[in-house]
Amino acid sequence: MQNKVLKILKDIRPDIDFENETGLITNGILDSFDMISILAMITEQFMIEMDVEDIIVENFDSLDQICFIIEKKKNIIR
Amino acid sequence: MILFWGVIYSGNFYVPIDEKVPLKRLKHMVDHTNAKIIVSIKGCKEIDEYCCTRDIKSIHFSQIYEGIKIDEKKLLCVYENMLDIDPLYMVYTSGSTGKPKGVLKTQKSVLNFLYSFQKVFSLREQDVFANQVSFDFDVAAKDIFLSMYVSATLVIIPKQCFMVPKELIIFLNKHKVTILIWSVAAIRYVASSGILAKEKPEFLRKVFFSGEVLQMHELKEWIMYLENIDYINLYAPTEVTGNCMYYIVDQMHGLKRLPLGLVFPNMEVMVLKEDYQKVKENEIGEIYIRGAFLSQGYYQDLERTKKSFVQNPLHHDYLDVVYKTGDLARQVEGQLYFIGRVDHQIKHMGYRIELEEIEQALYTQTSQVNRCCAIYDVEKNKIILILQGEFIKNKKIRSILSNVLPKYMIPHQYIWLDKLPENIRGKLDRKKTMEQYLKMKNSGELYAE
Repeated sequence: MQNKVLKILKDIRPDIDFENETGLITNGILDSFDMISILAMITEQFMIEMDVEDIIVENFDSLDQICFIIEKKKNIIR
Repeated sequence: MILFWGVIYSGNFYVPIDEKVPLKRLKHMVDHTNAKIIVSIKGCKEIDEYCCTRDIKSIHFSQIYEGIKIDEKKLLCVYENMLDIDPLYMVYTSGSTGKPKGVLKTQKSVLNFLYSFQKVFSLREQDVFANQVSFDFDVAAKDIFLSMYVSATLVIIPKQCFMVPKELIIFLNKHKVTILIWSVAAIRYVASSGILAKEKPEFLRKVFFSGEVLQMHELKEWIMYLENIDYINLYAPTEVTGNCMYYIVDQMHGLKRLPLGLVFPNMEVMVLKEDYQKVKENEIGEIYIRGAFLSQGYYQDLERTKKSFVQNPLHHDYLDVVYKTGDLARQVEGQLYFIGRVDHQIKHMGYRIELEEIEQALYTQTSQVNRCCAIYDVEKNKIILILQGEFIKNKKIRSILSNVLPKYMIPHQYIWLDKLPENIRGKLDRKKTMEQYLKMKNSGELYAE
């Protein structure tokens, strides 16, 4: 799954080293345009719903965190 | 903000540029403006180097304060020589030739707009404005000047808040924000995030939005959770300072779409058919605007200015300049509704975009694409680029385009065809391309990957 998420992120922002970056939001690396695209892509591709309560810095600051929240959401649906 | 006022007090006009704008576009704007000085907030090596080659003074904001002395005499001299017909600021807007156009706003147009706006909406000194749009966007001029005009407070929302809706509400409440003058894109973003069901901005009094058409269901999401607030739909093209029409949403029932509403005092909006007759019930016409808020047209482009700022077609008795917007409106039950554009311009994320500009940008950067056509999927709020030529990976095209275009203009999806539809003269057929896209979309072909 990590690869799939990475591909989505890289498609949106090819210039970012998502594998090593841990402050995507806190360091202002992503902007709101990116965030909207990322949310749209992951909810579409993983067929999950993101609640507004899930859209917090701690869930989207790094690749690992994004994978973790997707995994968590997938489990709820099952 | 300090910079803007600094420039104004020096007797010059300013051109706000977003720090994230691609260097190429920035260079075009600076060359086109013939700027003498660039002031950057953060300081950027590339900009400094570029300024050296053009004999432009590059100043970093932090340097300004060092050893500054105010020369009252000089200030007074500038003040005494100011004319209200001189430009106050200029903003760039998308242009069909592939180059952005600079629209000049005068002091007079700003002052007239502020006076009329205040007459209608009675904002107060105690109000707190929360700025959402970046300063290179004309909507922000209302934040800048209106808050000053009524001696209210203006807070700037950190960009981060728009990625995390919860923090946005916390921010608004912390600063006791009462007034929002936002882009439709931001209103829509908050509505679709679902945050209003959980957390509420407690101090809001009036919410203004403009930039594109807000759908009723998006507005309902706001009204459902925040009832006793005025919601106001504003309309005007960039060529008009501020706005020229407003619609206060007072009753939701029966309303299917938002009308353009009433015209601000001291302005007139005419909707004319091709034969220059005013539209009647259920007819479509082009919007013409006259009055004190009109801008001075396009910088260094008298030809295009003359094409859009024309003599009032209803008479030839004296010079009476009206702006021909290219916007179409329909009159239904006495109300005017925005329908679309005469040409191929679209509104996306609150920005006005000429689709041809995206195509031109790609052509200038690669020869691998023989032909391309940018279309707008209104339903999905997405820009789609249809291409023909030697296949390039999505990632590559994105990075090529982001060298020359701002982010909001980068297409979301890329579709390769063997051949794009043409008309009899061999020109790209946009209508047919759009039809083909819709056919592919509806058949589910596009999501096979």
